[in-house]
Amino acid sequence: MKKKAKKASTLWTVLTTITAVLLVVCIVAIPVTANFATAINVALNAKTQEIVPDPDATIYFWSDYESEEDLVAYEKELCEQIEEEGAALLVNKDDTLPLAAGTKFTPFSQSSFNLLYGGTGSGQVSANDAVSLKAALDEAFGEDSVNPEQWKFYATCGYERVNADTTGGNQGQYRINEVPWSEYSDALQATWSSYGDVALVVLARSGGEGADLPSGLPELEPYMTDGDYLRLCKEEVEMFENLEALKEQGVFKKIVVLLNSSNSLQLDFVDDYGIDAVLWIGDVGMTGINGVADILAGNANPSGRIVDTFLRDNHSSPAMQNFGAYEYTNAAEYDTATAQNNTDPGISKCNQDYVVYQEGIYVGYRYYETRYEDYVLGQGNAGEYDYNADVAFPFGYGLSYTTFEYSNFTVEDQGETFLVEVDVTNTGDMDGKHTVQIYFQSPYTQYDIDNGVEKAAVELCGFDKKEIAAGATEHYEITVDKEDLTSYDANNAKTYILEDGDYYFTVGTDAHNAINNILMAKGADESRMSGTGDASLTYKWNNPTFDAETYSVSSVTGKPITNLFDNADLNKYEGAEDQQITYLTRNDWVGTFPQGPVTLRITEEMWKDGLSHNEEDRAAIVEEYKALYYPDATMPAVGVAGDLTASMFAQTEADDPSWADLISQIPYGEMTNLIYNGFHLTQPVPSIGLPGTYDENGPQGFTKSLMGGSSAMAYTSEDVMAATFNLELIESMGKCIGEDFLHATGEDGTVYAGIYGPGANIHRTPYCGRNFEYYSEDGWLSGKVAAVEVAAIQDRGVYVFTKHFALNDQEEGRYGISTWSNEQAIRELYLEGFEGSVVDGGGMGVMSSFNRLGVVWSGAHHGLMTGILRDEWGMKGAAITDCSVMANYMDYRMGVLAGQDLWDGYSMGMATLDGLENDPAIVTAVQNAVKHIAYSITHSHAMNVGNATIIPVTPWWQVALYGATGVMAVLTALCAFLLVRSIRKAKKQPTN
Amino acid sequence: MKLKKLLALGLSLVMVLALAACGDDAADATPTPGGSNTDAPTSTKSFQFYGKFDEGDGANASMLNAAFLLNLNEDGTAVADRYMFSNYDASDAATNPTYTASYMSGTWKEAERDGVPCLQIKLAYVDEAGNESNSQTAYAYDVAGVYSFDMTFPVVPGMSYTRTVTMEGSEEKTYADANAFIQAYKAEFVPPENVAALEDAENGGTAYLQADGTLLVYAGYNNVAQGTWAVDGGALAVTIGEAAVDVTMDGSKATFSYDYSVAEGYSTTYTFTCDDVTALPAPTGGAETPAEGGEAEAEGIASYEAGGLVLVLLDDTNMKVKFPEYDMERDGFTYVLDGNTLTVTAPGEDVLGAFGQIWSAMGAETWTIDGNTATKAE
Repeated sequence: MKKKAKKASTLWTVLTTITAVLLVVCIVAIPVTANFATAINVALNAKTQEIVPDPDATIYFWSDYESEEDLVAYEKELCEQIEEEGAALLVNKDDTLPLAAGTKFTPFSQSSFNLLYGGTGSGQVSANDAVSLKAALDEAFGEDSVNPEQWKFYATCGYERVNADTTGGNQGQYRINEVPWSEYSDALQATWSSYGDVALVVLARSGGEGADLPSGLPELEPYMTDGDYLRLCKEEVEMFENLEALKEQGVFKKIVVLLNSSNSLQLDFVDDYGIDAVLWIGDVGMTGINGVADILAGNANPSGRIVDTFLRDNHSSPAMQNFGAYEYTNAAEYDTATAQNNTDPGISKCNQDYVVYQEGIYVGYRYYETRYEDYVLGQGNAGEYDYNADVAFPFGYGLSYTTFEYSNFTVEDQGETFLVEVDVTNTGDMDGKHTVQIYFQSPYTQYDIDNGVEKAAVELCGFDKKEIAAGATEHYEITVDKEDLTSYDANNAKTYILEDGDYYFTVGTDAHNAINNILMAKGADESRMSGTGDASLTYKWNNPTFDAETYSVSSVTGKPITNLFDNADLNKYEGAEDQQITYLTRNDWVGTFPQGPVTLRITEEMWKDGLSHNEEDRAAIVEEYKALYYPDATMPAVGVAGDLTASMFAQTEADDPSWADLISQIPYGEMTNLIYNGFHLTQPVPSIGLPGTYDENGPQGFTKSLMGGSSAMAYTSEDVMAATFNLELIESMGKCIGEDFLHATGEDGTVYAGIYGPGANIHRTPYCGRNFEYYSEDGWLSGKVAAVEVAAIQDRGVYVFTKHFALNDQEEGRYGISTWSNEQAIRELYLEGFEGSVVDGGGMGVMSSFNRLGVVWSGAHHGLMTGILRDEWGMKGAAITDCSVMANYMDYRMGVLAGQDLWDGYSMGMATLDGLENDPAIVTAVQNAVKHIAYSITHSHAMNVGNATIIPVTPWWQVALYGATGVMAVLTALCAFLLVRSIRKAKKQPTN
Repeated sequence: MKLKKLLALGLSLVMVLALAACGDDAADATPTPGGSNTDAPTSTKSFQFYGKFDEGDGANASMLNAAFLLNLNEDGTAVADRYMFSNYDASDAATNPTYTASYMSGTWKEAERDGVPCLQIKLAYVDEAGNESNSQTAYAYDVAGVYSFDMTFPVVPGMSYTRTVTMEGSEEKTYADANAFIQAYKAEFVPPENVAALEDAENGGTAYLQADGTLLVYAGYNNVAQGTWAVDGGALAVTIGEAAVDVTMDGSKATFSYDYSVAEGYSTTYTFTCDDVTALPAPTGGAETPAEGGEAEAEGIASYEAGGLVLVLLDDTNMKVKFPEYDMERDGFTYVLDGNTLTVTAPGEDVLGAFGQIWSAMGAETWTIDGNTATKAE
């Protein structure tokens, strides 16, 4: 009996111990998991709020489509149309295109089977149901237009293009993997003559987030010529050589090439191999290939114009000489290898790299056409510059199936604007659309030379596109803002200037044609020119006085405009010590052309000004920011009682003083929760009834595929959009993207209200992994397109975060890389796209970038985040960070003080605003940030819920945890009780 | 080893929680151009696919490396299991924490795409609440009875962190069950060859000193850092990465630390102790003295730091040029050394290739030698 009782007490001892341990685990887990709550909620899709809709809600935004099917059907057509108008015909020997009905094709390259629909990374689109090349050709040319045996061969040959990994990838992973010629069997070759009208070659090159394209990696030399992804690889050369021979033998009649890439290939081969036609198609999106087929078939007349300079030598640009991430020579001494990254685990490159934009403003055509002019005119030490050796097709180039002629070109000075007029006659026999491109040239003066102001020989300043019937003439009227003629003088006037002197306007078929027109007007020596120009298509306007006043104040806010980026320019930054940069100048091309990557070292100042990851240094920066930007801060009211709700502010202007009353109702903890935890969502703010929202990736559409869901309509890459030069199409697309967000919004309180896009960085070189997400090498054009797209998206109640603000024009080293540039280039090239989004498009937000400007992270750069965004451009909504998960260098304190509002991450491990609820400057900055976020949300379709009741919901896993804790507590108590009882019982038992 | 297993899993968990850019995988309500993904396929056939993703033994091996077993069942369901073999756990699938049954699932059917017969396979990660994420449609084509396709799998479900594995399969059932699959793909942890393994048992780290002077730091099973070691004057000298490491000597006992940082604020400090450095054999690879600049291995007959370049004299006439920044180098250079003047002749463009740009930007024909440094002659 005693033995049995002893056994029982042992059992209860064990059970008590187990339940007690589990209880302790649960108790410990509650606060621990609370720190990771947002991460866990997002990971588990745990509901954290319940929205009880307001039955009397005002519906501010509604769909224009009766059904989702109607929307999708229209979007498919729209994507086709964008491709039709964006694809640019580069070569069309002997009118090879259009092709006759019934044409038989044999496709060549594994990419013909495996088309490139978009890039990879956050902007990755789902190509699951995208239209194939074969399907598109069959539709346009009739059934059986594509050699079925060749098609099957590519399906099963085992060769496939390889992209760099979506996250954590690197340049070394890219592969072209073209099929070696030896793999085409005799039996397969025997089928070619039956489908021999056209050998259709698709050359595709993918790009993606996190990894630039290799431009010369030795380890890739076995796979690509010189380790350069944008050159023809040996298998492609072999393919072309054989196709040329087969064409001569009569097996194929024509060779047509499709350039399926947003990263322009090195086009040093298009005059060779008997190639008859070349069509650039970019990344085609879900249905764009149908538009390509329509162009090939002549159902559509090509009208796209390339938005980058396409090169014979991709390495010829000054920007390429410094493209990449270079390690500070003394990085090791500063322990820079400490990782401060996020989605690339283990990568130690964060604050140890730099890149110098030594080329200044001379990016893309601004370099090639300017150096060309100086060569022709024998000035600027241009050397024996061979334009044709560098450039294959100039910016703005594109052929049509018909021809156009210009006449009656006039320019009228109307004060703040110029009215440019020109007649365009379709002199061919096919209807077609035509884009008129207006370029200007501003004078390059002694003042410029003395003060380091640079001037491009031509700059795009206006365009319009119209349909012109065969034989008909259309009149174009284009307004050019005089403001667009200004230059930024960072050294003397320290603001925008409009110099005195002669300005030229011209209408050109492309940038090169434009400069040739101007050269003819200047009486240049034609023997030194490449191509011809027409002086009658120019207009010379003389500005009699140097003007440094008119454009020195913001036309939006009235605030003064002056230098904000001295600390990003090594020649002005005081902490650079003796490290000076020789920027490229047109006053001395040969003498200042960059000679390879600049070598830099970290100085003590650079370390303390932003590279340091020591808390002591960061705290010092915070104090400095407080003194500089909030010198007179007084403690604002926080968490006061009030009856205001967010829904009352749906139509309230940003400068309305009542915002302060609304924001003052929010407790500090709710504000920091909102700021901290914005990974693809915003947190609800119960104290003012502000609902949480969901935000998703762009820019090719609502591209949720990366984040675990399927994407909605995937449009073309952004460069194809821009190449349409058709802002009406862009507007339609923007509205449809907004519609996709509206339709994704559920009745359960899941409100998709924000888009991470569009992208507005520029194509500084062809090798940036994310060129597909950016419009062009031209910042001005980027701004014009972004403005329309952004306005259209927001018209559907979706706030934008135009990205990546700013100077994030490469992927290599992007986590914290120091980007050094001069202010003229920053303003005239790199901010223009964003300016269009915010100023002209009314864009409510931007996404700041991973990189640094100089040594200061972009989101903590007050000049960028407040000086530019708010003071000059008047942006009203929220600026979100790029992904900030575990990225401590994106410090909350520094960010909010500089003007950053919302963090695309979680607070775990970096909640530096905690405990600062009594700091007047910090609290004021936090309230500013919250107001900006609230403005975006209250001016979105999230307000369709009206004065909804936001009920915070404890997520299910927390409920489960609390439940488990309770159960364990009860069990422990029970077991303990039974244990005690069994011990007592045992003691009472007689011992035998 | 148990500690290492725990550590490896722990690191994975940290990654999962910390890096998780875990997406919102709410049931998709977006208007999808391709229509519904809920086909109801039927077939009398079944297929089995398998594939292995292996990024080596790097810092994230335990989290990334995985083998997949995909069964396309007769009822039209597709079920993919994941086995994270770099955690070196080959125990029973039912309780093996590194084996996840039905990691991804969906449907499949025989189809014809643009005239080519294929298997259409739809897969997604499906959470407990039934929400789908990382959905994809793949097409596998028959090549001599073997089908293959690329499957994109989430490293962490529902997030942006994905990898792609090539899956191959056929109607033949190669693996009878999950345990057979585990046995086929299990890996055995083989410590790198070493002359000494210094363990930080508490934190699960090991520093392996290799015979050629290489030092490898492992966190659990993952090689997280590399460096050099040497014994110089009775003291242990260590570099990790390119930085010299402070080594505390107590007689012949040497202690040094390495701070392994997943990200700022998330780090583990390993402390390694060598009880008797005099017992260590001298490194054989010429790494006796770890170079300041990370040039652990002496090459050729002489080498000179030349700005960002290193000029390496291979013999009396031939040399090569290295560009450590990008881990690039080129042979084919020749030289003449006259006193302290080094005259370099570069090879032709066909040999230089992409390196030519670096040489033209940073190189020179004539250099002045001073000690181990070469500067461009005026």
